[in-house]
Amino acid sequence: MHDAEHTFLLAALERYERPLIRYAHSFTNDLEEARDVVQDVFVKLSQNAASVDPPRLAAWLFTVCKNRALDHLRKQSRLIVMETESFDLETSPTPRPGEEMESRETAATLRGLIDKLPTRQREAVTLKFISGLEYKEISEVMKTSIGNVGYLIHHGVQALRTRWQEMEAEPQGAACAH
Amino acid sequence: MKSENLTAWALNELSAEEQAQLEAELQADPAAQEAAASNKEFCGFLTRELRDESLALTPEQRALLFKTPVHKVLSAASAFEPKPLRWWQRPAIPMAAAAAVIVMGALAAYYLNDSAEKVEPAVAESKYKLEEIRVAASPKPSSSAIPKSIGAPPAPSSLLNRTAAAASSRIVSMSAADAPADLLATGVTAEKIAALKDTSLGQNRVAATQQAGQAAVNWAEQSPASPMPMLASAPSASSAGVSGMGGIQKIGAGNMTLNGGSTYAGQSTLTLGGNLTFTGNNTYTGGTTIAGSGGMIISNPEPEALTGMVAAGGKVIHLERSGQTAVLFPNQEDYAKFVENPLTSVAREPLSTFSTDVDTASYANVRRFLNINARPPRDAVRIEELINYFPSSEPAPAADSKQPFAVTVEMAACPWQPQHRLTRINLKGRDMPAGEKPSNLVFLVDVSGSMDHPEKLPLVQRSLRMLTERLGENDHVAMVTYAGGTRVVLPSTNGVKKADIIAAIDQLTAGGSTHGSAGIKLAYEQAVSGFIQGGVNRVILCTDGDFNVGLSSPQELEGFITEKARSGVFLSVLGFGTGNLKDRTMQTLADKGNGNHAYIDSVSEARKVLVEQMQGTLVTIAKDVKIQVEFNPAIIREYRLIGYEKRLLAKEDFNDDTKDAGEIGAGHSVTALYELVPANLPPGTTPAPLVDKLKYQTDSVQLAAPAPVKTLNAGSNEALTVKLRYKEPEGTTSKLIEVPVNDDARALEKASAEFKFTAAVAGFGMLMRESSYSGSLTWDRVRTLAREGKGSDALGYRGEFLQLIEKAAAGK
Repeated sequence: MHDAEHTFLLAALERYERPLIRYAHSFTNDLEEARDVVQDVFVKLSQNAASVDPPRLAAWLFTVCKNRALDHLRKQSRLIVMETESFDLETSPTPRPGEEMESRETAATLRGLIDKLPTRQREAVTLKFISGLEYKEISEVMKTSIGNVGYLIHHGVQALRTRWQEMEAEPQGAACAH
Repeated sequence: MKSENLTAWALNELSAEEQAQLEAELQADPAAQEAAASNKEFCGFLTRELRDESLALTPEQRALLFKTPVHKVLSAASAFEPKPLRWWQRPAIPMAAAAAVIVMGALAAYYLNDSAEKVEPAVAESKYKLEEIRVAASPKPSSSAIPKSIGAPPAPSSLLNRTAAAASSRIVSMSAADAPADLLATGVTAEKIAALKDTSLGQNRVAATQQAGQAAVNWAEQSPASPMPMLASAPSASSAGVSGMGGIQKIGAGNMTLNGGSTYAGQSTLTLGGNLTFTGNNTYTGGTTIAGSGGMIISNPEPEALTGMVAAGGKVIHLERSGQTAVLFPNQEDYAKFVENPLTSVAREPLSTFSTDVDTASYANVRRFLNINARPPRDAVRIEELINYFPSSEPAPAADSKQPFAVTVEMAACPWQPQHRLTRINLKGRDMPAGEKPSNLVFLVDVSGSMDHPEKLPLVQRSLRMLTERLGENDHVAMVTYAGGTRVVLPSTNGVKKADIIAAIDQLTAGGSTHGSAGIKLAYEQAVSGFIQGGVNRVILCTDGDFNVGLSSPQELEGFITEKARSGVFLSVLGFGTGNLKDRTMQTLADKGNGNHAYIDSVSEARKVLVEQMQGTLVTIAKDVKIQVEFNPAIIREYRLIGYEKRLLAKEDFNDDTKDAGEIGAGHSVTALYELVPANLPPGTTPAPLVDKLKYQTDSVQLAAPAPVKTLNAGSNEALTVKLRYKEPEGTTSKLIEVPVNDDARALEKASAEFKFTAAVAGFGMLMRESSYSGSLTWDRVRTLAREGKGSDALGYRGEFLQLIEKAAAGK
């Protein structure tokens, strides 16, 4: 393999691997599947490097990722019943220091809240905060206007904030894992 | 203050201008300031908490990934931070043009010397500064007159060598034969006529790729100091997509992308059927002419590249800089085929005749241009298709009514010429409940290599799945694919066996060349073999339009389809993907095949065409629908049909049942507008050019001074009569409907919401087309009319239109 290709793929991988897996996971609810999907995405990228416009790389990756994830889902749904419970991505063989643990639980709780948002809001919020895309990129992935992305994210964030404040207010609530 | 902006502000997504405005507003309002701060804090909290991810691919997956063959050399550095002076390959360049000749001439000194140039560059300090360039077209017909007409601001000055002076031109002729990639490369001949002096072009690489299968042809542009022949190479091309490309019909399908940072100056001529896209930190001055049906797009991706556009026919240059668009029409005369209908004197031409049209492709196309902040080429704006995109809210006749459609005519003041009248003629087809008629559908899917794109085949699959969901036990579906070969991938299958149908759809993969006509034949065979008398028999062609006609000529294909249409099998053509240049071919096919043509650019568009308006797309309720309007000269002096330029019929065709015309589907609406000049308006406002007295005859209508018209029915107050002819879907003789119309002197304010909305859409199209009849029309006026006419807008189409108005108004 040529060095330049390698570097290109590696750079793309470094930047987008995690956001993509997280995004794929929001569809598949299964870490292994999400990984498979993302691997497919990068295989496709390596095959299509020529036709991917670098400034639109993010939009391309996330669009392909979504299509792949949905394909997976469709195949899966014919075979087995979907697990409704969210896979805990944070299971780790080694115990972690308390502080980090706490932070991870916060993130897990937030993701739980995000999962309860309406579909479009959930997708926009996931792409923004978990995948770190810009509004414009999100609008390309979601095939909508930037204005609409702003609207979805705003309302998603407000809903999350309200819910989060409620949870903080009631220490016995679901957020109280720590 | 829009509350969304607070979140956008917190996430740093506002433009500098919006940000400054919002912050100023916050300054004035401590309470809002506090709310904004806490919102921002929460956004920061979300970002911090959620971005911290520990997910990654497994080491095995990574290892596997890097063993996958890679087809393309790509500059890693440029992939994320586009650097000036660096070309890299760009997508979608089917160089399928049998002979695509590029003559890139460079007259670098051009704008330096021409101090009178109105578009003097002004981007010295900030390369991100928005700069709109807009120059009137050169009136001279010669293409050599073009270069004066456009100037572009220079890119970062380091790119520009101002001493560049010598005229140069470069001819690259490419011919793609039916050949795998390596032959494709040898088919590239490059001839260097002269070279730019003193410019730093050494690092530039012009890359053209064959999209279908990622074959690539690169040739390096060497600095003139060492005039080397161009290098052509085709690294690791997959031959699948290349073989079979070519052939003379491919002219018009070729796209080419030049990408990177370079300086182009002077006159360029490009003969290429397809799109030419420039991206990167390029500077262009001078004009570029494109011969052929393609368009040209020049985009500078600062801050982001805007690419992948369709230029539908005609010669057009797009120059985008940071979201601003300038459009140059090199030569107005090249648009002769599509000039808007003129005001016509009633005394001379009392009849106006045209065919109905329910196509909507132009609207989707215009929308896509506007969504990437570009201005569509004028010829891409077909006003009747914009108007008919929006289902009108008039009540449809009952399903069992005698007439297949209801006719409504309304007249009110014309928004852009208050003294004129505007008449809206609306035909609303009767609705047909889904499942009423058994259907026999054949999906004909293009699975050639060019369909391997996220916006093409996957979207086709989704669209077909959506349609399949709606089928019932009375429906049958077969599916035929075509690429290099043609296959029946699904024999006729009952609509209840959704799993089988969807499995066949899911299995579609793209690859290979395009041999469309064999596919069409096979699809029609399937449709005929499963023919349902009295049912819906239809072939649904899904393609990106890259349609390699295997029959000996397009005429033969048209003839074939025309003949098949008589067998009662109808055709729907669904266009997919960007870079689609065969809009015209697809439209012709749909017309000849008694069908309709829609452009599917998104899932929501697929839903509109195949779910929300499925019956309209599938069930034809009337065919060969023609409209003829007779105007009363006592009331109307002149008239102008808005849009339908390509649908005009001779007045004799109206009663000629052998003349083909448009179809109307269930629930479809067809709307037409006439701008009318009342006879009582003081003459002289619109002087009609008169011709000389005829030398050899006297009884022509074209007299210098029209002979006094002998008015019949002098007492009639009727302004006009609308006559319609249509045939039942399986009928051969037409039926006539006549609707006389009085002018009730209605003011625009009193007009119905539908009238206002139609006027708004027409006005939108007129402004986009820079119509010479737009009079006092402004974007504000269009916006107001559209808002007033929006109505309940259950499906959201009209709300989207309002957004498009904003985009068009901002980019004007």
